[in-house]
Parts: sequence; structure tokens; C-alpha cells
Amino acid sequence: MSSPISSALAKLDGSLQTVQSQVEFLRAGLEVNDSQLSYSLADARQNAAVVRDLIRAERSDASWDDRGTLDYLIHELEVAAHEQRNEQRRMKLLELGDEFEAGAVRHRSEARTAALNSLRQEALQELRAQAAIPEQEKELPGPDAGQWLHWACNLQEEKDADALTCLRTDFPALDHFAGEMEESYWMPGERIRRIPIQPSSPSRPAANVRRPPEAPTYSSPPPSPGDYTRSSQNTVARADTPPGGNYAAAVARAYERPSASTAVPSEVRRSEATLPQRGGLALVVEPAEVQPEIKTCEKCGATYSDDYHVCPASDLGRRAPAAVAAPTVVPRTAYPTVDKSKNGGNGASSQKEAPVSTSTAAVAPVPGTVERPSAQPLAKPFDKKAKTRKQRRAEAALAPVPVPEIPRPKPEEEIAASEVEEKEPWTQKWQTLQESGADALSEGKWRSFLVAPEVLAVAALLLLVVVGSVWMVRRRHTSSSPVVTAETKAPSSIPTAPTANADAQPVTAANSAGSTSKNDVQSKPQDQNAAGKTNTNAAQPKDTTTPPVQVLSVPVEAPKTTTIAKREEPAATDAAPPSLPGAMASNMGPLVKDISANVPKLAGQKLRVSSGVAQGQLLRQVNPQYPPQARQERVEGTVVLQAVIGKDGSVRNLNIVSGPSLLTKAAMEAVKQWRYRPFALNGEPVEADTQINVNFKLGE
Amino acid sequence: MSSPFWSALGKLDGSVHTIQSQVDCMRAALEIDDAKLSQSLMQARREGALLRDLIRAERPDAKWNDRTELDMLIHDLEIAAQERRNQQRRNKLMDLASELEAGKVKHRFEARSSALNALRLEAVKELRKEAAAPQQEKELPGPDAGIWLHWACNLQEGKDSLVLANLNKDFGAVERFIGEMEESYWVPGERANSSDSSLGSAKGVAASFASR
Repeated sequence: MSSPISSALAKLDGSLQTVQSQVEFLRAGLEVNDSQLSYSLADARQNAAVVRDLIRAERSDASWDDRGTLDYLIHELEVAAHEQRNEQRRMKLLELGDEFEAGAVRHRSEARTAALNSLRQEALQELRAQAAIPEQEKELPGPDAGQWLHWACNLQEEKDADALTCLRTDFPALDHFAGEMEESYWMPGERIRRIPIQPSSPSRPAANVRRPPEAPTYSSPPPSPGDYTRSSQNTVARADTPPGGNYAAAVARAYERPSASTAVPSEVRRSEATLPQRGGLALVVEPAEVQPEIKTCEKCGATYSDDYHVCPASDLGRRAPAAVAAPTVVPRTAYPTVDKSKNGGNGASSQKEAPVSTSTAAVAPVPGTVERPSAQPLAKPFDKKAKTRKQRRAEAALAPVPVPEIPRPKPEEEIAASEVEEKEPWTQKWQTLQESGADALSEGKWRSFLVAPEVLAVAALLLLVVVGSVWMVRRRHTSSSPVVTAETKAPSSIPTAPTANADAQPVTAANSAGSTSKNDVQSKPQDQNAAGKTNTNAAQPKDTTTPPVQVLSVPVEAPKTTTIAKREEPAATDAAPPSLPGAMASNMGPLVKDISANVPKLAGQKLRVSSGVAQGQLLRQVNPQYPPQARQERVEGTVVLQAVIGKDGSVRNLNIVSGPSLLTKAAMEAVKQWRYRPFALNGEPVEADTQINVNFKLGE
Repeated sequence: MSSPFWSALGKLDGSVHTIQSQVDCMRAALEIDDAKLSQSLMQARREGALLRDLIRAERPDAKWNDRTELDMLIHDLEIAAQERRNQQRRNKLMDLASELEAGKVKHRFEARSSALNALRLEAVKELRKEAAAPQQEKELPGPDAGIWLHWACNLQEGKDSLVLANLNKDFGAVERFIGEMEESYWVPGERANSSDSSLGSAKGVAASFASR
């Protein structure tokens, strides 16, 4: 089929042939037919204008000087048109192949389903093989890929003989499959949309680039003149990048609440939207609550991420606690009264005061008050994670000091104790105790003195003082240059606290009742390790003394502990606590040694770092090569790799998580050559586990 | 002197060349100047008509169908014209030779007469030799034979220097003869052969001269 330009050129040549013959007559000195010559000239002029218009329509800036240049130009245009037709044929074959690959056949009989799927695979292979032919001259009859199967399943032998003949001749496997298929068997899937290759033409507009719908768009930098972009960002779209439709729906489902309330603060809703990793997790565990830090008020349905929630309803919207043990009712002001007369009455607690429950679940809420979240029942699997600093502080403040269980006094004794308590404040009780002397001590009446609230308050105050002094002493030790020397010279001195997070609590726990000191100390490093891991990003910018090594703030042995404290000294904002008296300092020495001995060594562990953190440590990045087959088939996408960054910064143990199969090999080969700054833990290099994304994108 | 045919043909070719360039532009689908094309066409038509008239004047029954035949025709016409010109030259030479041969020179002195007659005979001999040449390119200046000697004896050195030079270059003996001659010395005789005879008569004249 000749092109329109060639046809117009042929007409022009025909009209000029008449003109030329007349001119030859003139040259021969013969007489010519003037009218015929004029008519021929007019016809030739018109045909020439048509040719010019056709050429300019294809290439607006085309110019030529003679017939030879014109012929070359037309040849180029026809070659480009031919290539475009070939590409269109190829794309049609590939799209139909993708359609077949994405969909599935379903029949009530499994054997039939298997047979039809086998035919489908053969047809797919045939289509791909035909598409791979450079000069694609076979035209696939029928409509586009989306309607092709519907069309093929409705072909009639008599009516569509031509199409069937063409199909049987050029695509026998496809014809076989279409012949065996029924439209009802077909289950279409979502196929990757391919981008056709446009022939080079300066006046031709760029083709529209369509992204695959199932691949979320990432907020990655614009593609280079090469063929791809790579990103080691998180594998999930961020809030500022509009994700694909399916992804947005999944995220919406993850955050869907049964009783949507308009009273949900906008900040909370925004905070929900900016937690994509939770949203991604929701895709996997849809009904699961992926926001342990975002709570829902069951009464008003509002979600809140803060520790406090002002519920407009009369009753606070909190989840009903799971099976919680019955609270132990302990009188608030229970104080064992010293009844001399009864001589043996244990400190009976008063019953006149309202009982104070150790569990806040049974407390009747006061409307309109600020509710402090207490220990919530961990019925959901995702609640069991490290608590935030705020939560720990709040719990520490609310956590009552464990008191020995006081046997419930007899009613008469209680009444008597309450009466006595009203009359005798704690000073008097002390005097009474002293007066009672050994008798009272031997009788155990000192217990009621110890549980007096005033005594407890004084004890708590003393404890705070001790903790503060310990912390200050440790800070002083880390600020001095001969750190180790200071440690060795003053072994009894209290070492510096590792971090500022919840410093008071563990030491306070250590200084509380002596029986639990060691246990608390042992738990302290673990808490501080967890805190240290969360402080990774915070500690990183402050680490300027040792640039090649990333230090995590984890308290371990005494010298290293002091080093870390030294680095974080600029961030400390607390006031200097008062110095400890010498006796207390000497008492803390053995305790420190216990702490040092109980802290586990973490250098041998493998860190798990986010891809964003890993990206910051990247020293050398090698660009992957776009595979020719993928480029030919216009395959794009992101390859997600799971990698272990070794102690020397090299990439090890690369595993494919997801991505197009044609691109994974190239991605792995490139990532293998990447080099990171080694991650360090307490000054020692450790391995880090991270996820790497390599984005392949074809340019237009 | 160029042939009129070739001149007319040359003009016709110029006009047609302009037309052809416009046609080539149209063949290359380029835009053309319509006014220039029309003018060229008109001119080409006029010159073609002129050429046809020239040809028909030479050969009324001439016919041709294309440029090649035209070229061949014009070539033939040119050859014929050239032959005629040659024949005309030859005839003139022969006539003069006959005229000089028929007459004689008379001087009061016998020696002078003999010398002049000897020059006369050399001139006749040269004329006949030139007339017998196949390619007659030498044109004898001057009028016809009957008044040629009168014209030749009145040539001036300054005024007719070019003629005398050509005469000296092409017909040296004739030039020496007329240089010594005076018109009063000449006694014309009756010529034996006319100048309108064909080329074969020239040979006959040459043969009669040799026999003398």
C-alpha cells in the first residue's frame, strides 16, 4: 500500500509528462497545442501543491531544492511511517499478550481449565514471538487487546471468513485458543500498559506516558537522560505524592472507623495520613490496628495520638479493658493506727476514705475532665511495642510505690484506727513510736509508720535527690578529658548516665527497695537500648568527632558509657543536680559495677535500619544498566531488594523482594557494587539490614 | 559566418531551457513563477516558427518529428549551404583564371611584356590549383572576373591593406601579378569556359592549362 505522498507524487509526474512532451515539441521547433499545454501546466501546479502540503503535514520544517532531495525526503517519511506501522502491529501483539498473561481462565472442570490455560500460554508465546520479529508484517485482525477476546469468541465461519483465514494462517496457536475459549471462561486481570516507541521526527509530538496502575508513584527525583531512576526511599508512597487508586483505597480502608465522627481533629486525621508504613501494613492485616499510638475514643469515635483526649461525650471513649484482674482496693490514707490499748492491732486502714484502686479501670470518670491513659489492656497484637518517653514518664509518675500488703483489719479496729489517725498526725505517731520504744518495734508497729503518706513523700524526695546527684556526678565524669582515669581513680564515683531519657526512673528503681535493685538495673540497659535505637537519627548529626562511624547512643560498659554521654552533653538541658554526699557515692560504686556487668554486648548484633537512613550512609552508587529486552518491551517498575550492609560497608546477601523479573538482575548487579559508610554500635562496626529500591523508568 | 539555422536554433534552445527549468521545479513540487513561464512559452513559440520558416525556405518539403530529426535536417541544410558556398568560390576562381588566361599583357618593351605574361600565367596556375582543392575555404576577394582586374589594379596600399594582405596570404601569385600590372597593359580576350560550370569543368580548365 503506497503512501499518500507517493500517490500524489505519481500524479504530479503524470501531469508533468504531458507538459514535458509539449516542451519537447517546442524544442524541436514544431508546433504545439497551446490549450493542451496550458491545461497540463495547471494540473501539474495543482499536484505539486498537494505534494507540498502532504510533506509539510508530516514534517512542517521540511525543505528541499530539487527532485533528488525530494525523493530522499519522501523515502525517509515512508520509512518512518513503515516503522510506525510495524510498531503499531507489534504493540498490538504485545498488548494482547499482556492481556492474556494478566488474565486467567476458569472452568468448572479443573482439567479443562488446565487445558485452556495451556492453550493460553501457547498463544501468549506465539504473540510474543511474533512481536519479537523486527519487520512485523503480520497484522493481527480484530480490535484492541481489551476487546479482542470478546471479538474472537464471536467470530462466525461464514461472516468472518477473512479474519478467520488470516488468524489461522498467521497465528495458529492464537486461533486454536480462541476457538476453544468461551467468553464466560475468561477472567481479565490488570495488565501493564506499554508505551509505544515513536519514530524520530522533529515535528511529531511526544507520546503520553502512562504509569502502571499497580505500581505506586514515589517521590523520587526526575529521571535522568538515561532510562531509569533509582531510589532507596521507603517502599511506600509518602503523603505528598498521590498514590495510585488501588493504594489510596487500601489506605482508606486501613483507617476506616465504624463510627466516623466529625469531631476527629484535623491534625489527627493528617497524622493518620502521614503514617504510610502503617497504612501499608494495613494492606496485609486490614482489620488490625496498625496505629498503636493513635487511639480511638469508643464513645465519640474520635482518634487521638496524644496522651490526652477531651471527649465531648459524658463518658470517656475508651476501650473496655480486657480481662483485668479485680483491682485491689487500698485505702488512700490507710495508715496503721498504733493502738496501745489493743496492743497488737496492725495498722488498720481506714475505711472512711474512699478506696483507691490500683487499677484505673474501675474508677468512675468525671465528666469533662482530662483523662490520663493508664495501662491499657494489650488485647491487640501491635500494642506490645516500646512505649514512648511520655508514656513511661506518665506511668512512672502514676505508678504507686509498692507497699506491703496490709492485712484487712477488723471493723472495730479500723474504726479505732481511723479515729486515732484523725487525732495523731505522723509526727505524733513517730513520737508515740519512740515512746513505745522497743515494744513497738518488736511488735512490728513500725510498719504502720512507714506507710504513712508523709513518710512516703519524704522518701520519694530523698530518692529524687539521690538520682539527681548521681546523674550530675556522672556528667562531670564524662566532661573531663581523662575519662578512663577519672573512672579508675574514683571507682566509687557514680558513672554518668547514658542518655537523658527516663534517667531518673531506672536509677530510682535501683535505689528503691533493695531486693529489686538488680533486676531493675538489668532491665535498664534493655530499655535504654530501645531508647538508643530510637535516638539513632538524633545522635547522628551530633556525631562530628568520628565521621566514618555512626554511633548509636547505647549505654554499655563504663568507659563507653562515658564517651557517649560526653558526645550528648550539648543536648543536655537539665540543671546540674546537687552533688551527692560521700557516703551515698560510695554506696553507688558496687551498683555501677553491677550495671556494667549486666549490660549485654551489642557489637555482634545486626542492626535493622530504614532505607532512608541507609541512603544517608551511601558512599558510592552504581547505576544499573537497562536490560535491552526490557527496553524493547517497554517494561518499567521498581525492584525492591533486601540487603545486608556488611561491616566494611559492602552490600551482602541481596534478596529480591519484589519487582519485574526482567529488571531484577540488573538491579542486583548494580546494587552489589554499592558502598556504604559502615554502621557502628558503640564504636564497633556492625552489619545492618535494610531495604533498597531501584526504580526503572524509561524516558520518552 | 554562422548559419542562420544554428542561430535560430540557439535562440529556441534558450527559451526552451527556461521553460524546462520551470518544469523541473514543478517536478520537485516546488513553487514556480507563472509569469516567467508564460513569457518563455511565447518566446519559444516565436523562435520555433522562425526556424521552421528558415528550413522551409531552404527545403520546402522538409519534415521532421522531433529534435533529432531537426538537428539532422539542419545539418544537411548546413552542408548543402556550405557546398554552395564552396562552389561559388570555386567558380569565381575559375572564372578569374579563365579571364586571365584568355587575355594578355602588352608592354612597349618585349622583356617587360614577357615578365608580366609570366606572372599572369603563374596567377592563372594558382587560381586553378586553388579551384581544384576539395575543401574550398579560401575566398577570392573582389568582384566578378570581368571587372576583377580593373578592381585589383586600383587597390591602394593604405585603404585596402586588409584585402591586399588576404590576397597576399591566400593568392600570392595573383597578388604579385596585379602588383606589377597596370590596367592599360591588359588586353582582354575571349574566355574559353564559363564560370557557371560544375566542378568538373574546373578540372577541365586545369587540364587545358596544363596542356599549354
